[in-house]
Amino acid sequence: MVQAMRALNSYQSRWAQVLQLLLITACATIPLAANAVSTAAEAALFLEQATWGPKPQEISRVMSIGKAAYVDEQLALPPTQYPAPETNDVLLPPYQRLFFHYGVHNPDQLRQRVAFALSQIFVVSGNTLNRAHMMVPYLNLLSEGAFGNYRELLMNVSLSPAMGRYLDNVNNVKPDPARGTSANENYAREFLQLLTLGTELLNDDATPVKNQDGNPVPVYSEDTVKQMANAITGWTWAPTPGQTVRTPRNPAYYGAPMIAWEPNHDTTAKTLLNGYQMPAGRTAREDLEGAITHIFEHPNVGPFVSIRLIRSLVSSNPSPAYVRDVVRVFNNNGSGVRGDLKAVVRAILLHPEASAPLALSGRLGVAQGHLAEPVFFVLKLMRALDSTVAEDNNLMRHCSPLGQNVFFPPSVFSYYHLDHALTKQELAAPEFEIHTSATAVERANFVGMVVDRRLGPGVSHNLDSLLALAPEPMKLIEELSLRITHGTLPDESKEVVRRFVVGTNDPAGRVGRALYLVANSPQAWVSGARISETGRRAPSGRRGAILR
Amino acid sequence: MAIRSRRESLAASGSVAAASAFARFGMMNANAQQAGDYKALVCVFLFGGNDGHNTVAPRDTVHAEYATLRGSLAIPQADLLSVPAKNGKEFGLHPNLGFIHPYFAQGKLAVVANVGVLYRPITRDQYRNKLGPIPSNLFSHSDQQQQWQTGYFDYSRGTGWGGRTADLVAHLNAPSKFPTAVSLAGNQIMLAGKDTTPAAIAPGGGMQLTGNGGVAFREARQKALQEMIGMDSGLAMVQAAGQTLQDGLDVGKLINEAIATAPPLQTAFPNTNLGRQLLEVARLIASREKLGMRRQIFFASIGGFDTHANQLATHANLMSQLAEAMNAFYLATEELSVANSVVTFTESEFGRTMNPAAGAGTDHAWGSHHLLLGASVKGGDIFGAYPNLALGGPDDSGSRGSYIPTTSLDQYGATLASWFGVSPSALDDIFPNLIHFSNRTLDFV
Repeated sequence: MVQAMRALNSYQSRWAQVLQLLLITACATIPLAANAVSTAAEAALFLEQATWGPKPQEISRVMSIGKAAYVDEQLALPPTQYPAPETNDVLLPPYQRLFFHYGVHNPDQLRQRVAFALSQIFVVSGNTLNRAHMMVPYLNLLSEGAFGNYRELLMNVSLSPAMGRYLDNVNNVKPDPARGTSANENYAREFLQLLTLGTELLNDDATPVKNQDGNPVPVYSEDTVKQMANAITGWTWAPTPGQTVRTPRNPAYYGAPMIAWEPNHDTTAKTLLNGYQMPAGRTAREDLEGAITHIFEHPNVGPFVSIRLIRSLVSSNPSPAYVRDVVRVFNNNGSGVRGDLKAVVRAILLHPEASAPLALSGRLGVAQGHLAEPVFFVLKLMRALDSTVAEDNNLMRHCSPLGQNVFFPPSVFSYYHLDHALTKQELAAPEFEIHTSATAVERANFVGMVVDRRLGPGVSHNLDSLLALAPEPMKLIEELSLRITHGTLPDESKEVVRRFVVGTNDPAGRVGRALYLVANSPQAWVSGARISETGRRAPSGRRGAILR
Repeated sequence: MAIRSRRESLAASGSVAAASAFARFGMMNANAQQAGDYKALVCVFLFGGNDGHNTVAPRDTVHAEYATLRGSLAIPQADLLSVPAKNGKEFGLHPNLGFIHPYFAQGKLAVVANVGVLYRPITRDQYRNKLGPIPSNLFSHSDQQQQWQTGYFDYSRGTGWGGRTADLVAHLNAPSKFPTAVSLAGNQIMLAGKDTTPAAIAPGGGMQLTGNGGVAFREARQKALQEMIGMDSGLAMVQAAGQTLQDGLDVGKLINEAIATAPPLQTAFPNTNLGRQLLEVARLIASREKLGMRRQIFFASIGGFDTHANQLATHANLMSQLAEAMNAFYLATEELSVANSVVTFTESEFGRTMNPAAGAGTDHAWGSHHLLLGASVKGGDIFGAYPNLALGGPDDSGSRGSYIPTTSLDQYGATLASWFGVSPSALDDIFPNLIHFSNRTLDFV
């Protein structure tokens, strides 16, 4: 992690001055750009950041009410909640299907985007939690918590049976010299490394602090991990409704937060970050709350969380100034509250850098956007085609070969490391970790299956408005470019598409041809990409890197 | 950059000149021109941090100490599959490694004890008192994964030790356009070179565009698509997204053509994730002549080793999967008459604490024991130094049996790279910390 971290942080610092200069120039020309939307393309770009992708109707809605009102509307919507399974035998596939149904149709789009981003910080996996009753309360917790307070989220996740099971803190027991066992360090370590702090001290723009030798400064030590592990011992499953509490542990129950079982809690004194002392004799809850409150106050939390959310929603390579502005809001929402995710999300989406002009010159343009991860790409296409995706659909089976089996991240680092980098290009690029020679071809073939209508039952597209454009190929291409690439398909690419489209006069054939090529353009794959005014157009036939 | 431009200029000047010119870049060329010359390194990465202590455990009098420290996690002495070291000490493999256990007696399976990432040798006292440089962020999965794959503790270089090795051998594969390094387990920095780009492919083929409409239609569509992604947008991320697709199509074409004409493998592989990966590696090796390959580096992986709780059953299952897949792969190399030319070795980010954690599991530690299989492996022995197991003892970095490695990744990898043909002087370019170790290579292959 720190590898990628350090790699991309060095890019950040290298980019910092260039970006800031360019941004000042760019943003000076767009007064109050945060709210004003003058073109459909700008609205589509915004919808790629705030939703699972633009639907045709939403583009005009953003244009009429503006971004701020749209965000506030989204922040006020009630959260998507997955229904409880009827029995404990239900597996996850019905809920994977629901994920795609909700993603296409439920109105709380922004909340779903943020909840999915949070699910890649607060990771649990169907590889362990392989029954719906284990997973569903946790999905609902993240959906509810997406617009709550980060500290509250840390508490709720720490007491959630799903996380307790996934990272082994349920029934974690204080050190037992007689049996020769120590407190389990799994959740303690990942709480520090993956949920709150990372491994190295950060500046408020998420670059690493360097000591006098130029080296990063560790935030915590092995001893901190051990003391944290001791502090969070003593939690067990809540009693199943109708059952009495059993000693020393209850049978597994996922329907309510874990409860304290004091005899298993370590009551010695603990030393956490920067010598912070927690006195001996505290209860399990006092120690857990004390530790979380203390760690939540650490200055790393703001930059650590903010840059992750920016990367998920807007861009893999935010300028240091952008990060700093969001961190300021994380640290204080304006009313003295720290960790207010509503304010943080609002700050991310309405920041001038998120709205920076579509045509950007030089390295600022190069740095914008992020690869649409498979889940996002699938949903974005469905929404662009105004598709109907029934509760019973098969999209997760089509998404999985692209590198993302929803609810089944392979490790505690989720599907990809949130600080993976394209080192040769000197760019942070988290989603590229799962973009391989193989998954790229699968992605192209997924588009082919959309075109061929081979996504199985439960999925249908509303192509009427596109079919109506078939007699005018360039209009058809422009419309698809708007919906799928927020209008950034270069003219040269449009011409390639046009030549292929006019090979048939059949309206459906034309739509299929245009859709296949536009949705497989790299501009469609990289969400939020801009148009480089300085880009060169090489002749076709350029080979890839491997066979160069 | 310098190397690449040199290679381009050499491409026109003939292979003999190229081979001698490349000697200065680190390859020994003695075997380079021999017909049938072939070598492959196959890394099996055990993601999550394998519990080396239950993979290879003491089976002599030291077992009593092991059993006391491990408590409920100890494997009974009689259940361990005996692997006596040549120095007289007896060890035993996990009982579920039965599929590969016979290779130890046959001299094809070796163990290297207590391997881990190190800047230079360090004592407990030096470590505890911060008296010497150590790898950054020890005990973190992601950091140690990167370090095992790259050999670097700062990661700005963006290359792995497999990729840097591939850089040195790629000219032996000329004029083949097939990538020297291939991952069956997604993008892995281990295979990224300065000059060479690996492919990450999926087991079981595919990697070509499909769809309705007939061959001519699909070819025209693919041509248009490639024309689009071949344009330079001037945007690095956009270019990388499209280029990955182009790479996939190019590599897929070569693989599909080569595998279509290769005779089917007779060796049966287990239908597990690792089994499918290694089957695909075997298929590619079977197609090596068709693909024009003389040196190949493969990366396969199996996850689930982060056994913080309920370790015994989970780990036993993983050991079975590992052994069954490694055995099938070894048998396949025999079938393909390349058993002498292929070495399979394990990596894993770290070992696990000797001292158990609440929940009948173990936590993150440092050094761990590793396995190597192949007819060229000097098997039948335990290489390196097995640590003193005492908790808080001279080899423990802490108090729970997180042992300071006694063999470094650099020594382990340099031994493999030497066998692969990298010259002694070039090893330092691949393993940046090798210079800090007096025994640069071990004698296990």
